[in-house]
Parts: sequence; C-alpha cells; structure tokens
Amino acid sequence: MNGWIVSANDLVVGTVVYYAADGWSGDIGDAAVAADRIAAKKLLAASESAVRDNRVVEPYLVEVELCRGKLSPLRLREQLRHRGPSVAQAGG
Amino acid sequence: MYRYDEFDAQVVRERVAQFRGQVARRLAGELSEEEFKPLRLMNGVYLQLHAYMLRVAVPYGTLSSRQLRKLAHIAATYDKNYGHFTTRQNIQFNWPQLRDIPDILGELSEVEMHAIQTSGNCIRNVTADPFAGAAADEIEDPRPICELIRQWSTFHPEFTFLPRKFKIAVTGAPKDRAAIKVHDIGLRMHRNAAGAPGFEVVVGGGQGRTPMIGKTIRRWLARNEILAYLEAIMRVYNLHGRRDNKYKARVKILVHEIGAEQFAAQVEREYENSAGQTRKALPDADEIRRIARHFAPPIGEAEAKADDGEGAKKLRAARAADGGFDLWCRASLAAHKIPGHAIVTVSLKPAGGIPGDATAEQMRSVAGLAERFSHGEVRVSHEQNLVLPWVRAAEVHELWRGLRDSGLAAANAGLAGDIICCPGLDYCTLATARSIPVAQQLGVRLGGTKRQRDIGGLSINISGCINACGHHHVGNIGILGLEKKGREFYQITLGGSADENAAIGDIIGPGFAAEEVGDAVDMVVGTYLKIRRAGETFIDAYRRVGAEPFKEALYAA
Ligand code: SF4
Repeated sequence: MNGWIVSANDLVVGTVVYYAADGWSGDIGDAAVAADRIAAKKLLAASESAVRDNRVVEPYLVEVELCRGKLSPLRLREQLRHRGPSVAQAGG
Repeated sequence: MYRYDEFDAQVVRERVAQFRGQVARRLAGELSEEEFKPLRLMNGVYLQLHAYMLRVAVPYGTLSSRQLRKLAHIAATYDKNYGHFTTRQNIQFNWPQLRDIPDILGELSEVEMHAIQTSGNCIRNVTADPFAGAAADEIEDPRPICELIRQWSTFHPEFTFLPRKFKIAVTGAPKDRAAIKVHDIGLRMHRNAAGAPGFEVVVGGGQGRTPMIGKTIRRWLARNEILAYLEAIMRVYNLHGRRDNKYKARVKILVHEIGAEQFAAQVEREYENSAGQTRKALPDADEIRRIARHFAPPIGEAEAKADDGEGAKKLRAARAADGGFDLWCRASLAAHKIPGHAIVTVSLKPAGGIPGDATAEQMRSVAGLAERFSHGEVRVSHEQNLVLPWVRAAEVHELWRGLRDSGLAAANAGLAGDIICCPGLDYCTLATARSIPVAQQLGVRLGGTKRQRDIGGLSINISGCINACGHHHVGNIGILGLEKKGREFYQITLGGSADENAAIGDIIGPGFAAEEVGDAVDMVVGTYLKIRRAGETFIDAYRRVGAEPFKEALYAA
C-alpha cells in the first residue's frame, strides 16, 4: 500500500525528521501516514503549525510504501535521507 | 602569505557577530525561514539532505598550516571528523548544527578565514593556479591580483545582487591549471610584444546546463587596469544580464546572445566612460607591489642560488632505490621555479575513497608536514587535492614517508584514479543521482598501480546533476548522474578538457544504468588503449579519431 508522510529538517540541528501523531520524530516508523492525496494535504497543513513553532524547516510530502508494517520512501532521494549517505564517511 | 589588515579582521569579526544575532533570532522564531535563508546563504550555510552544510572559503586555494589545523579542529569538534575539499578550492563541512555555526565562524575568524562569498549571486571566492608562485612555467604569481580582486569584490555594494553567481579564475602560467576558460571571467597572464606582463581577459565560460568555453574580449590588459576593467565587465553584465530566468542569467548567456564582439565593445565603452571616475581610485603599481611582497617565495635568494644539485641527486638516488616512491614521484612532483625544489601534490583520492575528503587527523598531518617541509604553506587544487608548494628535493623522500603513514600517498595525481567528483545524491539536495559510489567503483577498477600507469594522463569527472560541480563537461571522460523513471542513470561525455586547450565533452550516446556505468567506462578506456599511438594520451587520441570508435565499442554490440 502506498501513502504519504511529511518530512522536514530539524531547525536547530538540521537532521531529517518526520511528522508524527505527537510531534516530530527522527524515526520514520513514527510518521503519521495519509492514505490518499486529500488526507496528505491535511497532514501537510497540520505539520506546518510546527514550522510556526520553530521546530523544523520546509516540510513536504514524501510518498511511501507500506510493506510488512514498515514504511519505505519510494524515491531514492528520500531513501537516502532516511538511511543516510550510502557511502562510508571518511571520519567515521 | 597575505595577512589581513585591521580593516579585514574587523569586517570579518563584525560579520560573525551579525550572523550570531541572526541565528539567535531565527532560533527564537523572530525570523522566518524565508527571511533567514538569504542571510544564512550569505554566510555559506546551506541546508542539504541530512543536515546543514557550511562552505568555507579558501581564497585562491592558499592555506597556512595554522589554518589547516583550525579546519581539522572544526571537523573534529563540530562535525563528523572530516571535511570535503571542493572543485572551487573551498572546504565543506557536511554536518554542522545551526546553533554551532556562529561559534565555528568565530573560530575561523581567529585564523583569518570565513565563509563570505561562498554562496549567493555575488562575485564568488576567486580561484587560482594551485602551483601559483612556485611553478617553473609561471610568468608571475597571480595571487597578488587575486588578493586585489578579493579586496575589491568583498561586499562590493554594486555587485552584491548580480543576476547570478559570478566566478573568476586567474593563472599566471601558460599551462592552465585553474580552468580559466570555464569561468565567468578567466584571466591568463602573458607578455605583450614589449615583454610586459599583463592579462588576457576571457569572459563567458561556464558549465552547468549550458556549458561554454569563454571568449577572449581583451588580448592584453595591464595589471594596474585590472579592477577598472573588471568593474566595466560587471557593469555591462549587471545591466544586461537576465534576471527573469535563472537558467539564462549567467554572463555566458549574455555573451552568447549578443556575441563576444558586441559584449567586448560594450565593456570597452563602459571602461572608457567610467575610467575617469574609477581608474584613479584603483591600486597603483606601489600597492600591487605591497601586496605582492606578501606572496614572495619563502625561500630566500641566497638559498635558491646556493643549490648545488645535491638535493636533486639525493632524490634521484631515493627514487632509484625505491620503486613505490618512484611511482609516487612520477605522479606527484611538478617542476619548481627555484632550483633544488619540487611542488608536491598530495592526492585525496585513495582507491575506493571519497574524492576530496580528508579526516581531521589527515588535515593535521598535512599541516605538520607542511610546517616541516613546505614553509607552512598548503594549497587546495580544483582537482580536489592538496599541494605542498615549497619542498626541498632533498626532503621529498622523507615527506613521502610522512604522507604514507597518514594514508595520503596515493600515487595517482593526474591519472585515472584521480577522479574529480561532487557530493551527489549522498549529500546534495539538488542532485539527481549519486556520484561518489561511481567514483569509488571506478577508482578501484582503473586505479590499480600498473593499470593507471599504463593508461597514462586521464581526467574522469563526475557530477550528480546538471549543475556540474564535478566539472563533468571538461573531464576527458565526463559522467553526469541523472534520474530516469525513478532510477539513476549516467550520461557519458568524452573529449572534455579543462586546461589551456579547454573543450566541452561530447555526449557519446544514450546513458547507462548505475550497474552498467563501470563497464562502459572500462570499455572507453579499453578502446583508447587499443587505438592509441605511441606517446598519445587519452585526449590526444580522442582528438585524432573522434567519437566513432568509442561509440562503436559502447553501442554496436
Ligand atoms: S553537481 Fe549537482 S549534485 Fe553535484 S554538488 Fe553540484 S548541485 Fe549537488
């Protein structure tokens, strides 16, 4: 099943966050899922109040697939945002 | 090296304080993102896929050991222990937190560094030949002129909101190591008929979605006229450059649309009209000399004259005795203008590594080695390597051992393993595909010691989108990552070149899926090896035979 979630970057730290029922979470598993486009629009509008609260930067909708209870973004860009760079980091 | 005067230091300090206030207001909710974004960009702060990114300027690619240590400290304290050197001779930190950035900028200001002119539609940080001041083929060190341009362009009120960003590169040598023909303005020093050094002025080069080689609009310009002339160019651009369409806003489009001759005529007219007002205010020969003194070689004349050839002899003996060292020397050493010395390129391209990345420890190690062997001076090259410009021939072997201990002795500068690559979709929010994994794969495939020596001089450049930060248009082999139906695919161009014979590569045919691109590049290289004549590099062979044999090898099957 496909759906939409809302993602943004944390204002202070910059990390990737997802809009959840009780605020923002770094864990995609916590994300609130909209099943159709109308619900997705509503979800995005709700998330925007958090922008006014100064928590996150530029929220937007991300299309996801729900497979065996796990949310997985459809686009590679969002998969990389979710998992982090696909390459080992020099300083790591 | 150039030292900031009190005025510079104060400007940078005030800028840090100002940005500290802006960040505080943003975090307190007094500034919206819309209001804050242009302010953060003016201070080099981007928001990328996973985090903020801070781009720090390295004016004309020159760093002191002290500055490099500070960059290492920032990497270790505020980031994930590494930094990424870019094709614009800058360094980027990929993981700083917004709340820390004012402190980072404060720390940078202690060593005369900042992030000004690293973003926005202004005249960006000026770039130069990384061998400047030391190269055997050089007419004069271009950095005094670069420094003049820096002073003139920083916060220049007339040029703070240009139609688009504006990049200037300068070389003082006939061999172009600064890619001047693919910059908005390229300045190439040469002598006129009377033997006086001056600059050829090239305008309208660039990469991105409309790659172009710059056109010469002035064959020779005296050094002390340079700022007035640049001002005339900027005024013509500011007046006529398009502001209605981002994709047509660079000066290259204006030069292309009205023609180089017409553009030159307008610049000359503006130059004559404004000359009375501005030329007088510009630095005279004494001021140029004053600045030039800061760039005087750190090696005294007495030492230069005293060279008895012993150092070179010692180096030859060490090379003869140690094959690994000899291989590294072949790739890494360049001829120096002072006898008994060498310019050393430190490759940041270990096979399978991330091009341009250096850990905090590696930065500290290079800083220490530069202090011991290169008068405390380091350069950053647009090939994303570091350069030690003042090394005694007698000490090259010892330096190499130090580099080897820090994992910095890859013997591939200028060879197939020396891949130029932007961050791509692993970091960059504008990317359409990943570039680093392709570089890593090719580095391993082509970067074997014997293989890359056999291939010889070859530039491979990879960009993760059409913005071309990896300079793929001017790679002998260029690779552009795109997205097609949700999947990464890669377009290959051949025949590009970033030097004095600059050329934009030809798109060779349909693109390749991620899993095919390694084989395709291998096939291109294999075709070259088959068709080359004795002594011919890849680009020589390509220019002789054209694209056909490569197309056939790639697509005929
Ligand atoms: S070329 Fe594109 S992907 Fe690469 S760094 Fe530039 S903008 Fe990002």
